[in-house]
Amino acid sequence: MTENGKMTLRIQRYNPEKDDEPHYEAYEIPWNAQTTLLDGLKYIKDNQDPDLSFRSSCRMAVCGSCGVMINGVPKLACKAFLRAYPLGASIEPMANFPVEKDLVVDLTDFLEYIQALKPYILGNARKPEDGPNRQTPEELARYYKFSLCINCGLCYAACPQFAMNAAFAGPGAVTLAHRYNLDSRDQGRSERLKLLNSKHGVWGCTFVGYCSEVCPTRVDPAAALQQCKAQSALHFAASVLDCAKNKEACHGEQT
Amino acid sequence: MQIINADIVIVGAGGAGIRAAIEAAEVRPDFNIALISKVYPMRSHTVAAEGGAAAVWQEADSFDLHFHDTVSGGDWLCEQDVVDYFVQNCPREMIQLEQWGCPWSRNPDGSIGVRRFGGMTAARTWFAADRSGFHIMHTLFQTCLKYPQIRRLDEYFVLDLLEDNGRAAGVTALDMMEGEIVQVRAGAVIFATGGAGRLYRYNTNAGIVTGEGMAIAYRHGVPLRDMEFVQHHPTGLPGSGLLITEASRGEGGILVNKDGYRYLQDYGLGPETPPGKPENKFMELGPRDKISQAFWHEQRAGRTISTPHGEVVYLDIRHLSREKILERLPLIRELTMEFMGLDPIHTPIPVRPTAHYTMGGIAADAQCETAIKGLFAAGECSSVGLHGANRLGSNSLAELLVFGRIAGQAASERAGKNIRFKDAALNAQAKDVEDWFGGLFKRKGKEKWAAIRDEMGLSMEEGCGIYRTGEMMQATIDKLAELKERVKRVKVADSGAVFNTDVLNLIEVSQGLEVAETIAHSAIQRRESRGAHQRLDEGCTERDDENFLRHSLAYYNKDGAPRTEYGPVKITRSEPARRVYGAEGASRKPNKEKGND
Amino acid sequence: MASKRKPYIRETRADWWKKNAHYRFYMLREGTAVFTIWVSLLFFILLVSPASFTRLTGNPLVIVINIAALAASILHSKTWFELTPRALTLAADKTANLTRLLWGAAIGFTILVLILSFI
Repeated sequence: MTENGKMTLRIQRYNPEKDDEPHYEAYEIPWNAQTTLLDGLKYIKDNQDPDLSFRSSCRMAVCGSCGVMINGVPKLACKAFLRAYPLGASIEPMANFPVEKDLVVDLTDFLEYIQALKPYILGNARKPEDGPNRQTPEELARYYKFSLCINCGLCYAACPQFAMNAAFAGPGAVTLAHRYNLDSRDQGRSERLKLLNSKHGVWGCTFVGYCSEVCPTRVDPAAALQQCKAQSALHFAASVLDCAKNKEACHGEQT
Repeated sequence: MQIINADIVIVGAGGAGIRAAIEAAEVRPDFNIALISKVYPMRSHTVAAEGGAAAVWQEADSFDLHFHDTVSGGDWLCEQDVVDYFVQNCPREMIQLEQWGCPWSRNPDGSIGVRRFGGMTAARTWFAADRSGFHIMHTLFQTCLKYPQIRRLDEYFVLDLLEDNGRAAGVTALDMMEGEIVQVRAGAVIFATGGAGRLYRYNTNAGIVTGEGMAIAYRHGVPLRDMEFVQHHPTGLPGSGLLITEASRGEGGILVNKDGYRYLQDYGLGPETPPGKPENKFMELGPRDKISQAFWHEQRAGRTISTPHGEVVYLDIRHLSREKILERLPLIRELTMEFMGLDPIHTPIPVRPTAHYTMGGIAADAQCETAIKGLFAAGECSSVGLHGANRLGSNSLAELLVFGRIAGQAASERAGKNIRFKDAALNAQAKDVEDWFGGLFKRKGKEKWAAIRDEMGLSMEEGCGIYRTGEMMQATIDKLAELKERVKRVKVADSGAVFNTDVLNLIEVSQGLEVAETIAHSAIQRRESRGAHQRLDEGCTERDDENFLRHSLAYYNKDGAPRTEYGPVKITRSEPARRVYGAEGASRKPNKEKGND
Repeated sequence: MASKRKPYIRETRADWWKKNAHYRFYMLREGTAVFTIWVSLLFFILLVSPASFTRLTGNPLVIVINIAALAASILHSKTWFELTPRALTLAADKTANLTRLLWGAAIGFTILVLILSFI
């Protein structure tokens, strides 16, 4: 492929063992119409600065490793073509996460939030001997879009609510919980809604909606959050009604 | 040094690793399971598999047919008892995955849909659009979150195996974020570390598929079996090597050369089937080795298309309806649009063969146990003898599940409770690892791991590609020996502790060279052509069952090239015959066999 | 041994919303609420003293504010109609239809109210 020339990437560097705060370094790299930002980062690591740290793996936008900010916009490096930035670009680690080194951020909270919201089938005792569940294409379509989340974290980098309150479960984790809530094979909705309705659950979202705009697989986490809000409101109302009717059944349930 | 005690430690959290972890957690709820991965589990390369997973499902299909497809697809280098167990257990695993929430694609009535795949007599590939590996991976990852006793050590890079008195006792690993080495001790160790596709320049694999697991077992004396068999997938994107799934042919896509001619009919795969109406084991649904080899001949004959990224042929899916492409192959469309700038609904996709899969690996028995007691291997890093000389598409996702489960069970039995290890012995080994790791930072020289990696990739492609000659393989062997010397003179530029990928890349390249050597040496010593190992030199162009119906076993040799030995192949009921596809294959059915069932 | 890690936490400043167009539009959308207060106030005045209401609505400044309030409410309706279908669990192809339906209903209702107020 013909070379289009050189461009300059300004990359935020941070070495916790030497620096007190991040700074930028400029790198000149060759590019053509097929060059992705990930190619550019690898070029720098291979040829200029082997100590530049970033995460990457599949290079086809399915593993979710390589999220960064390009000119302030959260993107996957492997899916961002440099042809869109002929004048160069400024690269930072994903916003709203603590920076560990260069472009590497700490995703521990995100992973914990995913786990806390129980993204797995609950309350279905079927065994392999019983054969597969029946699920029509329509039932599949109800949740399928939300099952496409690659856990890249870009939605968190896009979310101002998460920026202001790191305890907010956030778009990605809620989307996965919601994906199971919508699955015809699952019986765990009320268990999850209790969690989603809690202090750090769905109500932290104000529907800014930027998460859906940056999602590389067009999962629409903002929609998942709003649907979750509707469901958890109804669930809450129903549980209050139940309590009113039957005080025995709900001691300790209401918070 | 921190010591983490577990009952079982699993290295690698891709499909096989997590399947093993869940199984162990199910059979031994009292066990602590450490699940180590150098990346977050959902980044594992299983996530990039597209087409689907094989399991007999339709009325007209049978275990016997799946068995014969696999054994003949593997050019009879398969352990037939292992294949039998495998085919019988695939459906259970697919159903299990369904019950854990995997969004398998469905028929209108809500039952499971299956699609056609290369080299398979019947449609038996379970799929989730063309993101099957992605959905399998995420279903497994999410399901494993259910078990509090599975302790994930994400972003821990395993450096070595701990042994006590000939028995696996755990691993030493680098906590990548802290830059600290820890011991993870356990009564059983499962390696599920994936393949080594990154040894080749053009490959479909993720950057992490560098083969360290194989190298660690190998250095501990476990042989690597059948390493010469490296699968080249016929349809990768030029330049990047990104995978265009075989499902695009399973759904009816065709391959044409620069004259628009469906050349596969000239390579024993014909007669031509109508576009969009694929027939099992004909034309585009032949096995991968044959289709990649056909490309090589077309290129030789000047009938491929030259592009800035090398020679290509076209994969044409335009005759499939737009709806079908959007429903069944959405990822393929997205990838070609993103990375090639063309829409396969309107334009054929340029493709070329690219390194894809290591059929061989850590030699393990039917229970996944290796020569070291308590060390198990499952998935692509292992060689349980399933794939032989050529793997059929969609057998590897099924393998992850079937053998991940076995490894989980077998390791649980092996581990026992409260195994006592000799503290001093393990500490001494860990100290050695620590010293060696520290030594990497003190090396002097001007070499760069990136350059060595690139030279290795190019050399492997030249010497151990689709077709091989003694001369070309020898050149690769010499090159690898040179690189092994040069890699000792790589200076690590990053002296830091926190997330130092510079030193980790150096380790990956160094270990990769060991694995590459086993491939090249096993290849040059196999003086025949079988499956994915095809030779052009005199006397080696045909299959030679008399001398080479044997597994190669590469043993580590501290002072030089690997030592190659050979082991028997287990044949139960399918006697080696000529591999035939297309019309000839159809006329041969049913296969000749000893006994019947 | 002491950890070598020293995670750097970037602060979120009060002007975070100035950073990109999406955030700015979000603030604008939320800002339309101010006009809702304004219109409520007008209705309150109408209830308490219809005479003052008539006098007030004739004021050129108030007319300008009311035009702005109308624009804001149209903008708010637009975002609301686009977001509502997403908040319901619908198949993708039905989302666009629902937005159209909501627009239809809103325009129809407005015309109806206008007709009623002129007869």
